[in-house]
Amino acid sequence: MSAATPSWGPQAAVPHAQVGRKLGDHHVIFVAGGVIAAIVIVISAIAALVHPNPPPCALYCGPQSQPPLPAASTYTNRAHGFSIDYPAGELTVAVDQADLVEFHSDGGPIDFRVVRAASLDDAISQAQQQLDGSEFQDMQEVGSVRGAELGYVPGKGAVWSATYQPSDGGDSGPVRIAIIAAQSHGLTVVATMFSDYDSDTDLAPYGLSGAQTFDYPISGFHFPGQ
Amino acid sequence: MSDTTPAQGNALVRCPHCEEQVPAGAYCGSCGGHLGEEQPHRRHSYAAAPYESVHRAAVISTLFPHLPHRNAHVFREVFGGGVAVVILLAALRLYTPATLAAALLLPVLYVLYLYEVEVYEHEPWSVIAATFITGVVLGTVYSLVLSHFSDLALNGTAHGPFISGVVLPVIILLLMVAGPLLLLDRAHFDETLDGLTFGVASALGFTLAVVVAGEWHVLTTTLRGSGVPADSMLRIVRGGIVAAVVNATTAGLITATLWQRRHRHAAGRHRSAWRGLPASALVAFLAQIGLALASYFIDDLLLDVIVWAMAAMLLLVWLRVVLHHALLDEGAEHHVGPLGVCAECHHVVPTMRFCPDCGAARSAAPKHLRSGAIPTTEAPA
Repeated sequence: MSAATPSWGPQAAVPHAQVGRKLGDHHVIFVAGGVIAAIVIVISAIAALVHPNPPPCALYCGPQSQPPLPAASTYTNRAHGFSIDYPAGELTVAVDQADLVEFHSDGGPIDFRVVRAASLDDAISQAQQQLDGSEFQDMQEVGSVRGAELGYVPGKGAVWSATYQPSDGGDSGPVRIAIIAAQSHGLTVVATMFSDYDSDTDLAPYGLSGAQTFDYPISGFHFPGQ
Repeated sequence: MSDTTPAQGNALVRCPHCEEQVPAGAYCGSCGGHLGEEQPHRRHSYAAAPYESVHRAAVISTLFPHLPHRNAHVFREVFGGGVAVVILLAALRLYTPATLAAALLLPVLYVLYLYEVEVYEHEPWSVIAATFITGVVLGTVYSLVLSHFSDLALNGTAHGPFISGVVLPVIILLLMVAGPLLLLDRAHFDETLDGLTFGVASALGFTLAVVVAGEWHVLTTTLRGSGVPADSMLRIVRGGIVAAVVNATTAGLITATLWQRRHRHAAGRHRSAWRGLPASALVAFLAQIGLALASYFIDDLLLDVIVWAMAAMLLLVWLRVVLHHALLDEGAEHHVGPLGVCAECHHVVPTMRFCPDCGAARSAAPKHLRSGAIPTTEAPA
C-alpha cells in the first residue's frame, strides 16, 4: 500500500507532439527503407556484376566454357547452351542429339530432354507419356520429389513405380522412374531416369537403386548462363 | 479512450479485483483490472496495447510491445509495405533482392524499435551483442555446420524425418535462446518484456543469418532468376517473414516466461500452469517440431505456407495471452505516485503500475518515458 497519496487533478491530455519520442514517423520509414534498400542494392549489384544475365539468344547461343571438375567430364549441348558435369567413370553418353542427351550407367539410364511445355507439370506429363507402355507396365505414381532441382534451379518432380519388361525379352522386374523438370531463361529441361527398385530408401531415395549415380548429373546440370 | 467519465478531483475508489483504494478511472492503477467489470482479465484490452484485444494475431503490438500505439502504426505500415515489396520483387523474378528484403525486414525494424524504446537502458552495445549479434553468429555457424553434413540428394534432403523434424528444430530453438541467457542475471533487466525483447532480437538475428546463408546460392547467381515466380514467392515469404515471426514468437515465449520466473515480480493473481515456463517451453518446442514435420511431409508449397502462417498467428495469440497476464501479474506493488503523462494515451494521470485512464501497463511503456515528466508548457493547473 502506498505511503502517501498525492493530490491529482482532472485528467488532461498532453498534446501528442510534446510527448518525447526518439524517432519520428519519417525517420522510421526512411531509415528502415534506406538500410534495407542499401543492402539489397549493394548485394544485388554484386550478383549482377559477377553473374550477369546472358543476352537473349539470337542466331546462336554458344555454351559457356567452364573448367571441368576434377575427375569429372562435362557434356555441353551446343544447340541450347546447357552443360552437364558427370562422372566419366560411371556414366557414358549414349545418345547426343540437339534436344536430347542420354547417359547410361550400371544404375540405369538418365536422359535430359529439352521440351516445349506450358508448365513444369505439363513437361513432366509429356515425359511420362513418352515412356514406352510395353516396357513400363503397371505404372503407378508414388509421389512427388521434394526439393526437386536441376542444378540450383528449383523445379518439380514425380516418381512412379512400374514393372520393367525389356524389349529384348530379358527378365522383367520392379523399377522406379523419376522425372524432374525445371525451367530457366525460357529453356525447359526434363530429366528422366529409372533403375531397379530398392526397398532401402535410406540408400535409395524413393526406391531408386541408382539414385546416388543420378545425383551427380542432376546436381551438375547448368542452364545457359549458370 | 476510456468508456467512463474521467474522475475529477482526488476521488478514490475500491478496486473490486485487488481491493486496494485507487484513483477513480476506467482501470485500476494497481492491478490493471477494469473497474467496471467483474472479471479481472480484461480480455478486450491487451495490457501492452489497450486499444487492441488480447486475442488478436498482431505482429507489431505483440513482438514490439513497448511501442505506444501512436508510434506503432508506422512500424506496422513499414512492415506491411515491406511484405508487399517482397512479393512484388519475387513476382518480377528478382529473387536476390526479394530474398534479402524479406530477410532484413523484421531485423531492421527491430533494431529501430530497440533504439526507439531504449530497452537496453545504458547498455546498448552489450544488449545488442548478447542478442542480435549472437543470434547472427549462431545462425551462421548452424548453417555452415548443417551444410557440411548435407548433400544435394534426390529427395531434397539427406536427413530423415527424425533429424529434419525433431533434432534440428530443437537445436535451432536452443541456439536462439542461448544469447539472451547472458543477460538473465542483470538486475536492471528484470521485467517480462525485457526477456521477450531479448529473445525476439536473438531469434530475428538467427533467422536472418540462416536465410542468408541458406539462400547464398540464390543470392550469388544471376540477378533475375528463373523458375516459377509463385513458387519462389511462397518460399521467400515463408523463409524470410513467416519463419521469422514463428522463431521470434517461440524464442520470445521461452525467454519472457524465463524472465518472469527468474525475477519473480508476480503477485500471483493471474498465475496459471498453462502460462508458466514449462508450458510455454513445451508449446514453443512442439510448435517448432510440428512445423518442421509438416514441411517435411507436405509436398504442396502453398499448403505448407498456409500451415506456417496459421501456426504463426496461433503462436502470436498464445504469446499475447502469456504477456497480458504476466503484465497484469507484475502489478503487485501498490503505489500512487505523482502526476505524470501516460506514454500510451498521453493523459496526465497518477503514476502507477497501470494508467487509470487507458489501462496500459507502465512496464510496457518506452523506458525513457516511464518517468511521465509533464511538458512544462502544458502542465495542468
